[in-house]
Amino acid sequence: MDHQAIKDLLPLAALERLEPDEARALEEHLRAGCDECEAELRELREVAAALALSLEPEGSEERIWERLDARLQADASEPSRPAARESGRARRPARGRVGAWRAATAVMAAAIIGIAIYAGRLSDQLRRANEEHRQEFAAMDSRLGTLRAELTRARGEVGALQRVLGARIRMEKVLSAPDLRLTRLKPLAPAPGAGAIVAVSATNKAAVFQAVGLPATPPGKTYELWWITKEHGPVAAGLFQAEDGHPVVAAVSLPPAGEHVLLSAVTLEPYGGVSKPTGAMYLKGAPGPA
Amino acid sequence: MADTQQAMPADRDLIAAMAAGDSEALRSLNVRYGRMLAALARRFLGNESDAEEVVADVLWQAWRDAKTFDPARGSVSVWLVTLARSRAIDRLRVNRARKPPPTEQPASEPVPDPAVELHQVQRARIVRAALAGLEANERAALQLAYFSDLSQSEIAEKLGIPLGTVKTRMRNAMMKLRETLSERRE
Repeated sequence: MDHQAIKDLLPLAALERLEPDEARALEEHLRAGCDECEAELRELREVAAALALSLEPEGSEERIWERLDARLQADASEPSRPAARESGRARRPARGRVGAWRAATAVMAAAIIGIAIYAGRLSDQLRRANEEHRQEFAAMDSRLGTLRAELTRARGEVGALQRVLGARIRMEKVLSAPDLRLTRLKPLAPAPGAGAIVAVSATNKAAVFQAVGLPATPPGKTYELWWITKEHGPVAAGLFQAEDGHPVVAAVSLPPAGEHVLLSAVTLEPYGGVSKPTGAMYLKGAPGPA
Repeated sequence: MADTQQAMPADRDLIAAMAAGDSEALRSLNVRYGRMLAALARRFLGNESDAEEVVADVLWQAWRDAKTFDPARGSVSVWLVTLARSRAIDRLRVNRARKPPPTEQPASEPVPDPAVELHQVQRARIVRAALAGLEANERAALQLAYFSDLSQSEIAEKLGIPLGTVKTRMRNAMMKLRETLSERRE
């Protein structure tokens, strides 16, 4: 995907609405060090966040604070972070008093030295325990970060699978409809080994496209399906991507209501699609009998 | 989304104070953003209690991560909003797996701080005016993209338009919104 195609993805990236393959392409582009896209994405994220700022505030800040305060109290004993301090509060050490008798002073001094030695040892033990805890927390934080990244990736894959499954379910539903109408698309010169069908059921209000043998979509491009009608010529029916060796299943738009469909075709177009075909035609076919 | 209220500490100063262990700064951040983030979370969850729990999680994460917050990577408000949206979507998915979606509950009566309220009202008014300037179909695509967890294809299906049109509308809406907001900020 070239720089311009990536730039076109940035508004959708700021909305966190990229498809997994688009997100991967953007990530690679940013990792390669494109400062321009990085800055623009940062600005567009501000724009997306502004949508949240347009909402009327709701709920109770007191109830939220109660929840936070409970966590602060629980956290106060945690060794990896100093306990929260509140503004305007300070503790002063108590002052000792010197006794009059030397003997008593000597005994007290000995006791203090003993306590100091014990406190020193205790302090060492606490420091060691503290350090061990800090390392454990750092390891847990790092593991949590890895798990979050894995979860995000898995979620993307599950989303993609759900969409494929949804399209297959729709395809089965359309194929079993009494008013099923099939259009078989035959290969043209750019993809001699390809083939496709479009199944349409007006009663189910669904149209599903399935193709095999299409070359992988080149970077910055998309395949686009068209209904070519007697009344309005080519009408966009949907965009899809192809991977080498993988069949494509996609839900597409129904033909325009009341119009006479002469042909259906697939062309290769700039990423994001166009309103009228501009690229090479890969597949073409006329609708079968109703 | 820079903080324009002179009387209040800047967001980044609150984060710096939180990094130093000042829980009063966390309380101020809650006053400033808590109810706005709750409104965002409630859009996804439809439930005030869940929404407030999400906000508590977000502010707690801000408290824990305040030391590592890098203003060069984006503003505090973007950080908090992004966290809130992501956590609300996570909770929505967990809720869906566990039980049917909760019924919509009326929001409780707000008890706002007047200074914060003024700041938020001014900011919200600017964004709403910018949204009103969009074409209706672009606004619908944008709001569905931001306030739901639907994919591009699902949005296309819901709006009954081709996927390419959805992408175009979302892109146009974002670019127009950016232009309007930047004009109003100048």
